[in-house]
Amino acid sequence: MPPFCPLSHYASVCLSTLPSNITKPKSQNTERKARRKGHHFMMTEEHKVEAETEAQVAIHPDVLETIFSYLPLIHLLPASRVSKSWNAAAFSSLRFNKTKPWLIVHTQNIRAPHATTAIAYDPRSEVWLQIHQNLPTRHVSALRSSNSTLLYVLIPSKFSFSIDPFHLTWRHVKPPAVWRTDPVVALVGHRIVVAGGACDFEDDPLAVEIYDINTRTWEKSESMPATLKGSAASTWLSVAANTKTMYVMQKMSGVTHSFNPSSKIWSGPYNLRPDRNIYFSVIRFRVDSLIMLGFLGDPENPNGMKVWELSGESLEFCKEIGMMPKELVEKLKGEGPSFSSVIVNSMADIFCIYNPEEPEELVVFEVGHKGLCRWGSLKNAAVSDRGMVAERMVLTCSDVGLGDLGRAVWSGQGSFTVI
Amino acid sequence: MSMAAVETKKITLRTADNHEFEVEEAIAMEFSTIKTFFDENPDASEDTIPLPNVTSKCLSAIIEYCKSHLAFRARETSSSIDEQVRTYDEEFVKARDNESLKELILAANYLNIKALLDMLNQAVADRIKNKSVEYVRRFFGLENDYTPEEEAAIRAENEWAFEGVDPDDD
Repeated sequence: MPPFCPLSHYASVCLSTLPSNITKPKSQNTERKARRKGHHFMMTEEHKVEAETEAQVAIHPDVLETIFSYLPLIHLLPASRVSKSWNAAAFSSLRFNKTKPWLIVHTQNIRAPHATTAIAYDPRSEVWLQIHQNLPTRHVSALRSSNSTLLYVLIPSKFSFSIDPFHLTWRHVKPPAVWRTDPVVALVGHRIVVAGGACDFEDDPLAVEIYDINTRTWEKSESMPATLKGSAASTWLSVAANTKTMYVMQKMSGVTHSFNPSSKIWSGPYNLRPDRNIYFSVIRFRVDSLIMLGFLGDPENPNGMKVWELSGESLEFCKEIGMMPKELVEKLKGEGPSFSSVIVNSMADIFCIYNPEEPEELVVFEVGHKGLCRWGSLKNAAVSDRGMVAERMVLTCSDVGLGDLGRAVWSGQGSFTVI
Repeated sequence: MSMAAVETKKITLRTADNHEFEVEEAIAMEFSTIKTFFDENPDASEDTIPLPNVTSKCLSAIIEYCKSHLAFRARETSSSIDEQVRTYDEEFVKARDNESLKELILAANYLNIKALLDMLNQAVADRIKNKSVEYVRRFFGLENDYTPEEEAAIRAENEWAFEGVDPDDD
């Protein structure tokens, strides 16, 4: 054994020499080790124990943790089941290469709604993965997403939704009483709020209903404020929600209202835009502060996109935290003549922006520790060279931990392949 | 063309198995542990440096690696150089078995050679990727120390995760 050296604690690790031929049965290995160790023909009890522990301390835990930080989460999973020490090292390695929320791109064939595919991007290791749902749900209508992890399908006879990180399990419940084509839908804590978007023949275009996931019941609630008449649909309204409150902002005017589903009270209007030059803005939550993304200039000549963070009890503190680099604005705008709409999805600190007319470019930014943005772009692996032909795309963002991945894989619900 | 003789300082390193290696200063300085030692002890340039944690087999491989990378860096950066570096790194790792990779990692860590360490860690990670639990155990010669009860508990926990979901409510 190498003598102890103060420069490195690795000196205490025994460099066991195991045969590289892996088909030899176990008993032969331990015998060989014993012979090499002390040239004893008869193994004493002490040597037997040492020989066995040698096999397990083969790679020092610190070195193992570093190696694990290079492994994509999906490959870390089998490594975490190899043995108890590897399991500990796997979880421990996540302390210095933390898990990050996954971006999931769902594509659906327009003419055959049951034909859906889901691919996910793991920003921690920068890999794309295909998600296979082992018991696929047959959807009959368009998939829609809302603030982060909620994916849903709404038809007059049924409301289907999924809130697990990989959307492998779905709940199918009675639909809301009011027939809706394009409502604002948001998951607020354990309630799903469905507001506006009512069909023309319905009496109240501003009707709001709440589905409680725990009691499995629908409840009517105070309608949206009258000022939202004419824009009470997800086409016109951007929605942000955390576990307690939901905010809706008119994308064009910036006028914002908030809704508390437990008190069922609407508040507002608030004018949150700090800059008169914003012509389009959307909102998302980041823990308890609101993140607003706004385009400056006008649709034909956008001269930039900025990010603000609004915090405080009544969102009175507004701080600019980032500006999209010019080349990313160009990428997002694409070839089109004007830039009138973007969709933003987010989870925790990861935000993903795309232009529905140019789905192959995804702009991603991460809000760092000091509250400032780090920008990057991503080629959407779900879009082939031909572009999206007869397909619609919907994005969700999920918090994914090693445990979530383990449950999805080992319960038999889903499988993942690196693309 | 006459060139003035350039005296390159040489440093002697002694390995665990008592072999002495004479290397050019530039190469020894790639080992951050040694560089730090010299930065803090500028007068101690005559002595042989003992490396009780590194075998001669490891050290000769590491010296080769550092020599080659120094040569690559001396040339202008271009995509073909990058390609050559990649190929060199792949070859460096390819023929080695897990044991020698582990020894190299420990030595690179002890000598504190960041680039080599990153490359080796990635190489071992690549060997773990996409393999089943059983394969990884056999490949690294590891014992599964989970008892059957513990395994069953883990399985049950994962299956239970989806029990709370209702079947279609209609």
